[in-house]
Amino acid sequence: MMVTVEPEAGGRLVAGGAEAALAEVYRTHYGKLVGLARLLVDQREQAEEVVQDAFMRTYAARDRLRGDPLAYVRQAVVNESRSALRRRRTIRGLHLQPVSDTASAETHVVRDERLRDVAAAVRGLPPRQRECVVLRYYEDCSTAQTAAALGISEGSVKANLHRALASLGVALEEER
Amino acid sequence: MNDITEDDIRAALREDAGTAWATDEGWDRIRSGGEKQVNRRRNRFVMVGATLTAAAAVLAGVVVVASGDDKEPVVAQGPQCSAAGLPPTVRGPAGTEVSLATAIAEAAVACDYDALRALMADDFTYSTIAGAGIGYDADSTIESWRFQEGQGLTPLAVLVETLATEPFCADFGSEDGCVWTYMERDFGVAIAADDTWSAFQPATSPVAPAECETVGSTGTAVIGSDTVSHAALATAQQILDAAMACDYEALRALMADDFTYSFGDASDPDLAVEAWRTYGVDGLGNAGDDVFQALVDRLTAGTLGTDADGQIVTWNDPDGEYRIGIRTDGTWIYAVAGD
Repeated sequence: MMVTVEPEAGGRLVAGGAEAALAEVYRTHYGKLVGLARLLVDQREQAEEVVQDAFMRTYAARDRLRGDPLAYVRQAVVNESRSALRRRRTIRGLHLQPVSDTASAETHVVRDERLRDVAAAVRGLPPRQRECVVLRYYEDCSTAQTAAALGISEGSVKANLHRALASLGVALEEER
Repeated sequence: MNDITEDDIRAALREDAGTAWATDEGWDRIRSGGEKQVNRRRNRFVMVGATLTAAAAVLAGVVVVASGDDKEPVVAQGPQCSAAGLPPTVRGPAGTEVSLATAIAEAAVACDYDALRALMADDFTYSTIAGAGIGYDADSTIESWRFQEGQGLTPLAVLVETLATEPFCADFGSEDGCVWTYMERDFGVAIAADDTWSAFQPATSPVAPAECETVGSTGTAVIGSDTVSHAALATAQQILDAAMACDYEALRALMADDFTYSFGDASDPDLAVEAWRTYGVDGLGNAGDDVFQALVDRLTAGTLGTDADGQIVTWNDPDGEYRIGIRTDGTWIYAVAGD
């Protein structure tokens, strides 16, 4: 759902309007955004925290929002997910704790074996390819929206998706 | 390719993502947390303002050591860097990591680059998103910090402010350590218990969705080797930042008076900006040609070269179609199509 808020001069949202728009994004998109974070972070139980943080950061910057608030929050979720991964990679680099790149058993919710293989293959993709696949096929973002959320060109999105689909095909073939 | 379909992927992701529900309590936490972030930012502006005052003073050769609203600043000769005068406060549980972090903060506020270098791992890495620096080892990091401080930038102050944040520390027997993350400025410092300080690096933060192709992108200018001048790199990063912000005025401000925008055309920065706005990147196409994307592509993914007997550092398109030239003194001299 596209949230529309009347902008003031200069394209910024009126502060109260921005808050109302963000609340609407929270109400209607929270579940989907948590799903997005779950697919991007490697510790699924952290997903709700990631989304909460993303909303907080966007809320704190609400007087600078212009256009569709969902685009901001989505991008913040992607960035927070990356930050969460980066922090753990740093910790991992320091040998602080073992971290699994796969979903924990208790949160593995995919029942169908075939779909489970696909989901596992997506989790095995390099981060950028995984982000492109998740935004494109889970969030149903257009190429342009995916590019905007990731801060890359549309050409790069297309290239990453192409490579990702090829990798998924290979991974699933090996799974057989 | 295997018989995987887009519908398979959609279904798998949908199931794997699970479900979650918004709650009133959740929104209240967001509002409360968001307000706290705003307040912290306001407080930081005050601190940054004080830091900038100190930075301006040290550039003039003095350090503000004490001041108040109703008093004249007291100045004294002393160390010269942005961290001078900041409290070397380090948070975290007592332990080896905090001891090392404290030593780092103390070295920073003392503007003691040699001491900072001694505390770094040799393969130390450093980078900024919007700043002007990058380090590919300890020595180049120190060199970058010296250069930035000389330009009025504040890497040492940011370092000290990062260490003043609450760290995340983990204790797993002999394998323990702490990570300080300065989210508002998107920097992180990680220190392991074996006295290894290996990085000072940014995270990413939310930015505006695209209004042009490059808005919202992040990146660092390619440096490639230690032969690139820091002045050229600083300018490259500023060009990159301006391109990623789709800001023609900022680009204009970085151009030399004899800036050449396309090979063989007039050397004039105002004409360059006008041509880019009107005709696109090569001065021949349409306004829809993406000037900003071309700049970002060259600076982040181009190959490095030199021109004019090494006096100009160039960022080149691998196909030789577009290149950016910056003099070793940091002057942006050209961005040209063709050879």
